[in-house]
Amino acid sequence: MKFKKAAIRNFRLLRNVDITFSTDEKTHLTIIRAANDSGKTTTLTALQWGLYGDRALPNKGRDFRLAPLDWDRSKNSVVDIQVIIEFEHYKQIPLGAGKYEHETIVYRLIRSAVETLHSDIDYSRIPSTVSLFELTDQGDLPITKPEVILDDIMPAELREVFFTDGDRALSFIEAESSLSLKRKRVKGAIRSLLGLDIIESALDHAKAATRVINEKLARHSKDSNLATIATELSDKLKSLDRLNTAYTDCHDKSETNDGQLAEIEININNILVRGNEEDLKNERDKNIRLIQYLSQQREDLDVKKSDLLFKQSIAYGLTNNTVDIAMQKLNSLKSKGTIPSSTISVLQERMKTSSCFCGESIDEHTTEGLKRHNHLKDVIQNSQSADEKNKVLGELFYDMRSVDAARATFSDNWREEYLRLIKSGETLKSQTLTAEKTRRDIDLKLGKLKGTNHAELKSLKSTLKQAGRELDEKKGSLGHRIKLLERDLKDLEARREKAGKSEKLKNSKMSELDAARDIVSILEETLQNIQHEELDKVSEKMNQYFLEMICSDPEQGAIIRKAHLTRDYDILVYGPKGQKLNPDVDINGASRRALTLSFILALTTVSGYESPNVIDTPLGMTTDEVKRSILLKSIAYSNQLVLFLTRSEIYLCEDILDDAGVVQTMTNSAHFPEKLASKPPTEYAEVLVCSCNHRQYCSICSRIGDDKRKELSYRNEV
Amino acid sequence: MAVNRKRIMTMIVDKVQEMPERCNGYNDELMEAIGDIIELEQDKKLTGANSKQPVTDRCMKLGQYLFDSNNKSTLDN
Repeated sequence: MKFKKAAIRNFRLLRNVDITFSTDEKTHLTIIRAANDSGKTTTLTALQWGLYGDRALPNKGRDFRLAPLDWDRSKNSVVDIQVIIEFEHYKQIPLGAGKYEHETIVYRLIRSAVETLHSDIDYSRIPSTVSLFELTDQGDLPITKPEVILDDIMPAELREVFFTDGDRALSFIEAESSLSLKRKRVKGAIRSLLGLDIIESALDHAKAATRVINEKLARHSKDSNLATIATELSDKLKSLDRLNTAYTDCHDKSETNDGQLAEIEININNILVRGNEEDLKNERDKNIRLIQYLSQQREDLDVKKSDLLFKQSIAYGLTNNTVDIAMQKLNSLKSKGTIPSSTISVLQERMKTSSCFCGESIDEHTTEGLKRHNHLKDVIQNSQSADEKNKVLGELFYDMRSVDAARATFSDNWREEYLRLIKSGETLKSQTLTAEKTRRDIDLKLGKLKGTNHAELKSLKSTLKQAGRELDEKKGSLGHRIKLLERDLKDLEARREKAGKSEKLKNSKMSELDAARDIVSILEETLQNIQHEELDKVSEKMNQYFLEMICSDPEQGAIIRKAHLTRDYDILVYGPKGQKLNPDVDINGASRRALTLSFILALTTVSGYESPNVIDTPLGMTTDEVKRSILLKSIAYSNQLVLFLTRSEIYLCEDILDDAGVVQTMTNSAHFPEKLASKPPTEYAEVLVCSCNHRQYCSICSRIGDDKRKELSYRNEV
Repeated sequence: MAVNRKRIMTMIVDKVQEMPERCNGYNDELMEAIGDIIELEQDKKLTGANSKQPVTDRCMKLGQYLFDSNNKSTLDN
């Protein structure tokens, strides 16, 4: 299967995005260059939604709005969301006897959904629908059961093999996944891609056929001896069925038990590294008490600071110079007689009488007296404002005299006291920060311990070990009984063969039994082949790719010597002297990414199934040689590689990407003006696609500083 | 489907070729029968169709071929 093109409409930031994929065998690499927050992961999600529907969305689509967040509801509250994918499929048409003819079919898939926006945050969505068309010379032929074809071509259990999010989907090895979950994922991918489930089912049904035929032989044979043997065989086969079911059940339980035991071992080791949960909890309580104490200390200190600020000594200390200047001025005014002032009151008193200070009449009833009376009135009014000031100055003078006298008696040690309080405050703040950091560290450790403590884990480990021993015993006993039964069955089959020899030409059931047993035998051998040899091939390829990607040369004393896929579906990494390394802890982010990619590519290589590998941010956390190496090997070992790369991932790999079949650039218009150099031709926050390759920029994708980067050149849009 | 059928069938062909022929043309018929069974199982996986009875029928058909061929061969001799 290969992607040809995709059109995405109104899917979050992707309002109108068209992508072309390279299908060329030699240049099968497609690059989508995009900065962070420019639609890389959204495109990956949109493609998966197109193929797998809502189950491929985060949280299976619950609370995951598809419509653009800045959609203008006032214009239209109903949003049509659509993903159209055109892909070609290299179909193998069985001709019989293991022969096949091949045909390339081109399909167009249309996944649609409608979202109604009730408010800016409230929306509803009708479940998506999918249509599939086969594109032929005669036109587009609709496919009646698109899900069946899609599941055939891109099975859901292989979604993480086809679509890899470099940052998140390290699910085959990542720390968050439990051991049994990791195994399950690896096993599921291998079973599906190598066809184990098909062979197993065929084998079960072929075995059932031998039983049915044997029963018929038992019922219809005219030879009583043969009928007796067949009946006995039939009964023993039924017993074998029961024993096999019990054995499988026991085996599954044992596997789960082993997985739990391994997880507990990891947790116990973690405890040894990080500390016991009980101790950590005590430490945390102690730490909380310390933080509370420090907080109380800081509050007390604040009160002390407040008290200090309200003390007169600090006021005197702070205003000393100002008070000196003020006293000088006030004393000067006093000596001039400006303050205190009583002019107005004296005149007002005089106005109440009929004669002035000089003895002249100020009687209002006489003409001359009225003139003088009015003159004095004007003098009082004119002096009124100046006298108000003098009155205030007078009051100030007397107040300041008491302050001046009092300040001489206070000491100037408030500064030392204030500095001491500030220093204590800083010490308490620093102690609080340290204590809070310690608490966060403890919380982190506690979180990783997931509610377990050493004693509980040891007890659980002991219980599980005991359960494991019991299961092993049961398995051993069942296995022994199965072996005995199988031996009996072999004897009976030999006896049936001998007894039925004369019947061979008379009774077709004997031939049918031979045929069914041949089929069982071939299928058993094929199953074993896949379970062992093919799995080992995946392991070998994974190891080869991984060591090549991380440039690890064992002869040069590299730390990572080997990656291995066990027959229990565990991915293991080994260091010098066969030392087992934990991929979660002991290898760096770049190597973990390389390991995941190696597993995925090895699996697709060994399976021989042509499929695309769509990988988001594959080169994050990698530098220099490893980055180039991962890129080169991913190209070399894939059929169709689609990489979403940031500019920093592209940096120093430009020459490798020159061989890409298609390169496009995605730009988020919302990055203008902070990051984009030109105003985008849209009023919405949306992803714009231009045909700039990894060495170009244009008016759409140009980022601030691009014009100064030597490795980039401006592309004129035609 | 995602499984490379050709690869699986190549493995099966190798195994069949190692088997002694029970009658003339038997191995080819056996190969075809297993191919059909694999197809039945793939259909079952995709469509959920029951494959148990059809697989039994296919085994019996191969047996019938063996029975007829052996009888024919005996008569010819």
